[in-house]
Amino acid sequence: MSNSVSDTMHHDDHGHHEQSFISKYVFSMDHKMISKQFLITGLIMGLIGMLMSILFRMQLAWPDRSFPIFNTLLGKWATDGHINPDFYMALVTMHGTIMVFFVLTAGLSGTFSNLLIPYQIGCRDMASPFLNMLSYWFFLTSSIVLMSSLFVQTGPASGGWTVYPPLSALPKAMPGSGIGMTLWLVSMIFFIGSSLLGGINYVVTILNMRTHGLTMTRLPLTIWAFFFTAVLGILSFPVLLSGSLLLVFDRSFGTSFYLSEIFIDGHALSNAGGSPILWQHLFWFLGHPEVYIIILPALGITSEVVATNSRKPIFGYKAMIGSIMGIAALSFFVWGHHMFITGMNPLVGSVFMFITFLVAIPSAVKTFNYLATMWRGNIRFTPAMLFGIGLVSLFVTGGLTGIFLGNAALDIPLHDSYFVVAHFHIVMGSSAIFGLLCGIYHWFPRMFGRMMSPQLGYIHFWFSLVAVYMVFFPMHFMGLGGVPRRYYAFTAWDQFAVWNDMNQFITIGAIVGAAGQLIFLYNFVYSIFFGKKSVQNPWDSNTLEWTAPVEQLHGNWPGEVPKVYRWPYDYSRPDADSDFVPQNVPDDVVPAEWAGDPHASSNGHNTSPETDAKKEAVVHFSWFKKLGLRLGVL
Amino acid sequence: MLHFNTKKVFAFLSVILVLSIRTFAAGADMSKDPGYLSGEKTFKTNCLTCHAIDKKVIGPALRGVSSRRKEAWIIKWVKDNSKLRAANDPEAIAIYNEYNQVAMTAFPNLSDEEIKNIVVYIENAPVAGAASAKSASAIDAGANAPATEEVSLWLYIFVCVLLFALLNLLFSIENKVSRLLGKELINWNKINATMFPIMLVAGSIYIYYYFTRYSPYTYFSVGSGSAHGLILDDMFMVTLYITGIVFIICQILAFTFPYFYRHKGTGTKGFYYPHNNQVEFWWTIIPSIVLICLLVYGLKTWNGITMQEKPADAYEIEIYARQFDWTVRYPGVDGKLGKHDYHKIEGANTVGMDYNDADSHDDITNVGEVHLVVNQPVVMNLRAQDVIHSAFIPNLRVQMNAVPGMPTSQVFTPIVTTKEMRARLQKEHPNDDIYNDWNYMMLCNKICGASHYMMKMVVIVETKEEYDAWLKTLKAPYKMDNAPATTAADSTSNKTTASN
Repeated sequence: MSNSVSDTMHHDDHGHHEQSFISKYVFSMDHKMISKQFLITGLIMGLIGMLMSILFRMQLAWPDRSFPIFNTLLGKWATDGHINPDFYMALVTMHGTIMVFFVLTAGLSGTFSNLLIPYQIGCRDMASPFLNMLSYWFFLTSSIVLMSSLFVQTGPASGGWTVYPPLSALPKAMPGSGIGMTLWLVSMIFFIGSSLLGGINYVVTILNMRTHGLTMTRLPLTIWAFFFTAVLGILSFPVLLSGSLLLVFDRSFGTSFYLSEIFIDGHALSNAGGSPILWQHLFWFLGHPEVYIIILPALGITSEVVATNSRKPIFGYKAMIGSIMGIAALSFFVWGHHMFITGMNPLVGSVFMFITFLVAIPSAVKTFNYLATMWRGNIRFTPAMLFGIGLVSLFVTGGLTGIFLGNAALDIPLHDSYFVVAHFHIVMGSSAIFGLLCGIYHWFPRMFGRMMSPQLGYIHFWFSLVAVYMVFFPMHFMGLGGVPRRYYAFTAWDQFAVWNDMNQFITIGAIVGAAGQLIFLYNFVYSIFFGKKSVQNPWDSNTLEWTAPVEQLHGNWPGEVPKVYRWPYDYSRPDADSDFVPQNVPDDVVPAEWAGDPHASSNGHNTSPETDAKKEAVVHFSWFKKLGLRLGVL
Repeated sequence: MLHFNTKKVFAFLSVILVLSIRTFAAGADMSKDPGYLSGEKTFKTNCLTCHAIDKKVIGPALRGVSSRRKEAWIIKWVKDNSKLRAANDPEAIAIYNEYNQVAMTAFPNLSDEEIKNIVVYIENAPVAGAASAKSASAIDAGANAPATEEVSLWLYIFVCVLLFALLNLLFSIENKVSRLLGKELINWNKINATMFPIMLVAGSIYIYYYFTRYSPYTYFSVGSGSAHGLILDDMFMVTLYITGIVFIICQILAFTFPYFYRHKGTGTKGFYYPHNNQVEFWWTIIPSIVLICLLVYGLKTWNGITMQEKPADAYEIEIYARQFDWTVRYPGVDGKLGKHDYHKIEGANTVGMDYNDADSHDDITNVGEVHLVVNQPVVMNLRAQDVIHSAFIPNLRVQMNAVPGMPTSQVFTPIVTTKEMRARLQKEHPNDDIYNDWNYMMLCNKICGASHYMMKMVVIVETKEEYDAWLKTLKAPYKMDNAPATTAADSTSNKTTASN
């Protein structure tokens, strides 16, 4: 959007009149309030999802032991202090659904897209505040519907979060496939609605409403990530919507899209000609882009936080954008790698394997760029930065195991084993959660005008990092021992008895991790009300959201929307006085581009002579060479 | 949450004591009775998936069933409970409703005698030791337990909040003192920076420990039992070395950069270094080349395993999956599996063979055990009755889904007999007696319902002679279903007899 004049008028029209409680806090159309609503709903869902995982982990680790707490919490589903197998499966299913969709899709992308898109591109609000509000209320409806399925007589959906038919289509196959599954589908349809409304809004806002001077190549990487996340969502969620509707038809109206030749409960069903594999294709056509919908915003947030706190430009900005694009484009053609052993044509499997391997390249580039950004930085350890570094470590660990699983041949012994559980919990579960926490710590002052306690944040981080590796690293070994996932107990399997110790260790790790999250929860709630008051730009950051006053105004900026003169990563510019140059600093104060040689800038004070700087750079490069990157490059 | 008070511990110990005495008494008399033994075997193959004797699992606890129901009713129920329900039997309908309208699997192929033996076993089986004792203690102590647990849960939450508040107070005092002194009391930046290399060392020890402690229990300790598995294991190791190097380098950098480049005070700046196209080019190209090598290696292996022509000396078997057991079907002397039609599932014909196709008349089925011939390729065809299942034999590196309405198959060659593999495992783990009766196992690896975790079949790899001898002990369902006709001039049955 071009004219700040009309923006100012808009602001004058709406900025000063008093809003009622309902329109300010409940049916708010302000992007900042909506982002808080998304965040708090997401965190509540996250807590529920985490609690569920602790419950089923305890049942799995000590199958013989009776925990009266189960009975207290779950009532008839755990009458003698053991969670019964039906409800165990329900817990696993709900944990997956909640974490993947409600926490890491809506909670992560919903929160930060809403908060940061208008702030960082310099506009007053989303293109359509009304659609934005609707997006939240669809999401809340969907959360409530999903949660209500916990209270139906036959229990919630329990066929795994991927709800493969025929299991999910036949109420006779397991109790969770009754009304619980119907509620799951209804919830998912609302969720998809929410996601589409949000996504369209994000794309339109980013493309049309950037402030003066903010070209696409000057966008912060967060915005690039949100942009491609929204595009992925818009293109892939409708496929799940149609898939879900077909499943509704199969369940309720007797069609046979997914059902064929089934004999259950003493009767041969008349369904013929359908294919259960069709659902898997439709589901994973969303499901795989979905994991990038989850991880891209986390990576975008990390890019911003790592650059800010390393006091260095993000390394290879254009390569970062290229990687995001590459990942987004390729993510549509890899869904089949979830289905190598479904009996799908092996030739198709080869193609999916080929493209899956290609995705590893942009992912590797992103990792190297993060490391290079930290190299010779001036790193400040805010809690956000700690989580950013944690994300890099997890992304490496989880990403590398993807090379095993993406290999169709190796997938034969590894498919659906604990190796897979370890892989995706590290690469898109934990690392996206780290991205979420990183974002919360970083933008908490922007959201609530107060600071979170950094010390509690440090403790939270070290707890979380240790817990994640305690919980998920050992699972690789279980997977390599052939231990299958989604098993209620291993009591019937002598050959898996050796893993009992490990199972208990993992559960203890999970409890430690959960306790760490309670520190965060305390810090979060306490700081909203009693935290130290924030200054306008607490992290000395360059992006536009920190040019707005601490108090949240309707319309974001009191006067004109700031103009942009440079890219967002001018940290430690040798020709500037301070170590950051915000995007709105005019180019007659500090030139938009640095004229010096980027290969020879200094690490010391900007007063040090150019020649010394060159020498120092050479010394550092020789160290870099020793590290093994010689190969005729440098 | 994990709190147990002393009273409960005592109650628990006394229950164990009492139960172990009962175990001893009950175990003495019946354990050699042939009916009891055959009942035990049938129970373990067919019922254990969903039932325990003294505990409600998926289905009800079974002890005392003979006093609750009439024998004739039990037999009808086990053979086909949907018929009982169709006949409006009130007890059957009540059970069906109590268990959320999920029907018990029908077992039409069990004879009356076998079902009676199961009942004998159920009524005289020893009380399972520790497992049920614990749940019993929980029930004994149950009257007051939930209340105390609830109180202690709130107590824990209260203590946690108090602890966090205390920590927070300490930190805010620290902040205030720092402000008064004009410098930081504790240099958190340095502490965090130092934590990273410490974590790197701790993490390396942790990973090393896991590798030494658990590697002997992974796939690689005793090798693959199948021919293609050997190639897969090699490929796994190659991938592990390559990714391992990248893992180590990246983690070392990620955990040491924070230490080396920690904040050195406000006067300093970082190194303004936005990009270096050469470096970026190479670190894009090198991973690409490595990945392409791995890709070609993987594709060749994948095609070799999945796209091979059926070998000339291969024989066919069919694995038929349903909630919650596996049935294997062998083609009989004609070497051909008969056609199938799911409408024909009835009586002993649990896999839905189409008897109009004469090839099916000599097909033989078995539940609970599948036998394979060593060093001979086998075509494993898979079908499913109700939902998707997946046949996973970890030690043979075999996995393929069984999909209703879509037959699938996998070809593989077992190369190590069960006995040989067992010996290898015993040698690898001389102190673990669980390997004394070790077997290859086929497990279900696609969630298929509440008893998914119990769905298993023993896989026995043996020599051709042993295999042939075992095959002779099995019955063809066609003959069971057409019992009076077996003596008549049925050509297929004659053929079978002749070959015997």
